[in-house]
Amino acid sequence: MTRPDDDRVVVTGIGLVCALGTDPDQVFTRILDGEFAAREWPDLVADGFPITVANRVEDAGEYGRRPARRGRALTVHAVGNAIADAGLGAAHLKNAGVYVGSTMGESAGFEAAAANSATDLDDATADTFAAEIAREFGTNGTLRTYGTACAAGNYAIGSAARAIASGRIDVAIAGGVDAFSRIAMLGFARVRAMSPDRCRPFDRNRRGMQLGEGAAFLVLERERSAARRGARRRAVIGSLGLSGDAHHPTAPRPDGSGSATALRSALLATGVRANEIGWINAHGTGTAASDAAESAAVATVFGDRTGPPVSSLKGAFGHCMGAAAAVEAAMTVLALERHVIPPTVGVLDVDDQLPIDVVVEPRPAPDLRWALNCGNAFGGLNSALLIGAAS
Amino acid sequence: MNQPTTLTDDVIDVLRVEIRNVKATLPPDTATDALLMTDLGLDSLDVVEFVARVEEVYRISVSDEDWQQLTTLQQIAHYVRTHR
Amino acid sequence: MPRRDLRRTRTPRGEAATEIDASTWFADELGALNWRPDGLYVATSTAGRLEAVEFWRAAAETGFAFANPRLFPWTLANSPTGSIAKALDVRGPTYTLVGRADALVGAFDHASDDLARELVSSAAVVAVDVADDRTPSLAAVLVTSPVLACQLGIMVEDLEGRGRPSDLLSHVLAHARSAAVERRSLHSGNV
Repeated sequence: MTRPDDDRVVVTGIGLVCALGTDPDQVFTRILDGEFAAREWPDLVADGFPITVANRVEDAGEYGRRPARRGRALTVHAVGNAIADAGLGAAHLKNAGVYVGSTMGESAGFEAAAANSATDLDDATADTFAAEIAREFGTNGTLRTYGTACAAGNYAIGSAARAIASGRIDVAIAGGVDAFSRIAMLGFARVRAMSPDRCRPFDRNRRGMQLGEGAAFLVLERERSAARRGARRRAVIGSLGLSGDAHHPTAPRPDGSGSATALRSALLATGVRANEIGWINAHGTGTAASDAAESAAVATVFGDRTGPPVSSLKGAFGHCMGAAAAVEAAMTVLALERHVIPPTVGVLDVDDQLPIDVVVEPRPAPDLRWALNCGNAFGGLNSALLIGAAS
Repeated sequence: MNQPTTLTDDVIDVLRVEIRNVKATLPPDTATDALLMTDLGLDSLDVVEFVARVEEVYRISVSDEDWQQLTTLQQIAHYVRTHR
Repeated sequence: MPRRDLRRTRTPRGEAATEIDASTWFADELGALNWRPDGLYVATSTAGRLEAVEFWRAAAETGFAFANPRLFPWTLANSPTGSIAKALDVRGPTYTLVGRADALVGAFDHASDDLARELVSSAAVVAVDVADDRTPSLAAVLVTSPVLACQLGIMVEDLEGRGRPSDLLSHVLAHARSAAVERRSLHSGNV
């Protein structure tokens, strides 16, 4: 059921902020060069965190002035860049739908509340970002906030695309945000999910995830409208596949069966066959269990070791939580535009028990047409978003 | 058969209290050689919580390498005694 | 000598209700209904936030090196959705929308859309909130018709209220006339 060309949902603008930078093209190039942002942070050392290595946005004061508003500052920067990239005017913005994914909300707000300062919890709750976008950019339409943890960015983008495809709106601003969370920095360390040094997805010696932060937003439009105003079409958003494990609050089903359902669902709903997928931009957090389960899922759907190449980008800029799937969706668009599959930064020795083809060096992909962007959340929520080349 | 030392009893007693704080359905005299996950039915989250409680009570830190080797109360008691 | 005193900073089982207890209550209440939805659409104004505060407060007391990790997964807005999904064995799409009326309308939108596309044949729309005094509130409806899901969403929009999802859904269900709606509406529970 592929739609007629002018009825597709296209990406016309990208804006992002992450530990590797604020220019999407530059961030992508850095990943191709194997750069990574993880480093030790003196303030985490001084405060006695068990693990002190993270991927944080270097603060020129822009985001740090008011810690309880850091997420909103990141959001406004990323959305502003996306709108500028799309060349979107006020008239279009007025009716745009706003779709945001976030895991922690304004974490610093909750941290302050714990110290008994007079914090308005509503102000810190995750729906604060959509409200900020509406206020800052003059949108009057739908506001949706997805609290689906590490999959939230996919939910936001996929849902926005659905709303456009079903005719409810013509334009959407969709993505995810999470400012650096001390709560998450401590929590993941104490559930023993965090690597003390590097994040090495799919590596034989992988030791866990690393925390990141960021915001990434896409401008999505109906292709007909985008063409009418002469906007550059950067990629096509296909369908979002979703499933639940119904298994455990934090551990995935080891056989990856839930995740496999999400992958299949994305393919079916978009009308794309498994052999048309040229790349999987994996969830790939670098934990023993999650990488194994995800690999099992890929093998189930695409064949044991015969499936498309797989990369994880979390070794480059960390796990950006609610922003993760959105930052990674942005990088997927770049890969489709530049016809090159980025490497799994951080991997040294691929775990050969994993039945997948792990990309360790940049891989030219002149025929890359469709990619899957994956995100799996605590609570067993699995998501896979199909993203395709515009031309 | 060796008589357990007072110190070992003390540690095992504390571990038995703490493990019941994690999983209330366990008996007060949990076997010291029972495997935490396979025999006692703790899941991965229960185990990290149990280790965290032991760390806090004894003010010791169990490294990321070491904690996965601790699979019974006996092993944890030994770890506590040798790291205090 | 090891300290034996158990302080309130530990996992408060049987003490003040936490998200774990609230989520357990939500899951138990819904599990007792024998619903077998394919999809789960949760709207919440508060999920995880009291736990975020409590986790951090407790960590400051124990010191970070000894922070108890038990509450951490429950600091995420997703946590009641995960518990409910497990209790109802939902393997299809599961959504967590955060906010007030917009979140509940969003839940109905997604339920309606998924029903219309036949991704699911039955959708549980669930609204959960935990008040600052830790009282949990739950309202839920099982819908099999995309049109009905859409209508219920419109009814929420028409309320033009600032209320929490559980209050809004309770109100809408009390006024929904359709016999095809299987409803469950509880204003509060004691955990």
